[in-house]
Amino acid sequence: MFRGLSQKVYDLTGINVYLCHQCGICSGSCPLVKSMDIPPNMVVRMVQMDMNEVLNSKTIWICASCFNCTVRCPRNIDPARIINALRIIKQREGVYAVDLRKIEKLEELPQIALIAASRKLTG
Amino acid sequence: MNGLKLMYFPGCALKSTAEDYEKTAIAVAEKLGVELLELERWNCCGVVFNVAADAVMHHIAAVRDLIRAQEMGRKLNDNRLVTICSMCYSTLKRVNQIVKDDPEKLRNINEFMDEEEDYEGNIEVIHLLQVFKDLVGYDKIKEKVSRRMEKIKAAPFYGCALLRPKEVSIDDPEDPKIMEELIEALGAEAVKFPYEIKCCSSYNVIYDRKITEETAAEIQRAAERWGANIIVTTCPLCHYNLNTSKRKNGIPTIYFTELMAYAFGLEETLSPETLKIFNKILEEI
Repeated sequence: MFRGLSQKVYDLTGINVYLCHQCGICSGSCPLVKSMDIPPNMVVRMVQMDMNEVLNSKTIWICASCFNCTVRCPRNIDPARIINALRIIKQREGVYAVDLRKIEKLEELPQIALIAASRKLTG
Repeated sequence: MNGLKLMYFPGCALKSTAEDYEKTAIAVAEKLGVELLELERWNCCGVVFNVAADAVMHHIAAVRDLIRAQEMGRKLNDNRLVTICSMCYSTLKRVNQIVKDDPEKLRNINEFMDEEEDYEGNIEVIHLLQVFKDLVGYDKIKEKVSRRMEKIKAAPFYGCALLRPKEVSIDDPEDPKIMEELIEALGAEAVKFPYEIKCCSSYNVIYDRKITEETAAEIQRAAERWGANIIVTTCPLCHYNLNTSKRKNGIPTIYFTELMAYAFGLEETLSPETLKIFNKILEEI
């Protein structure tokens, strides 16, 4: 049943993306959807369709893992975790969303944000 | 209740940007007969939880802290570890849960850290709000209030880490009341508003600051529209992000322990900036 991306997501999370029936509650609940290029429900659909372009979206880095979608998903498939899995696929290829050496005014930023970002946005 | 001693995990924020949070947390707990004892040794919890099934390495920092709690808990004869920062709560609680539920993972981690004693999975991670609600009780909190607080209209902002995913939630993830009840026990007006469980955009402040500024402004505006003059949070990152909003005269965000300290008359534990916030609210009305 699994192929390509859906297989990789399954291996990383144990989630079967084909359970998603595209109700869209994840995108409706997402507090950051306005800043995303692809809404969460479409990310899941693209994984179902094995569309590798999804790995180049901004969305996979913008999701802050707030788990609003996770709580509301009627199919219990945890979209935040799927998005995080896509991010991990990129990270393991050595692609990071930020270069920590180039952050401006580093000393003014709180550690809690820097550590979270270094763990979620870099390898 | 008097003489309750509980160990607590501070984490990075409480020792840097959120020093006022730690100071007021310890002071208000003491006022309520709870002595918070800092773990004798601790390291960063990791801040965020890695969701990959094979990410065992990412859980090690948190497990080390749980071992520190196990060591100290033996001496105190208590297995409860209090967290104050929301993100530490979430990370420690989730890692604790995952190693409790998956003995093989726990065995791998224990074998990897052969310089440490094994983690046995017996620590219970709780949040300070739960200590006040379940171990102290709001009646006792009411007794300690020495100020008139009714002009303070405080909007509780939960953010994500205390409530989601629901396996680690300290309350109903869709309709939490724990902070609202605390605010009311303090005699202030609790302003429940629709964005109370929204995400502050978290570490997007590093990725793209504009996202955070916009999100923070939306949350502030909503709280104001529902009549709040202050936002109350449990999370040092929400605190930073919400106060980062570029709006002029947006309402300020403070820690819930600062509100408690003010209500209890513990002004000496508040920073001059926080005191100014309270004075301004009282002047305006």
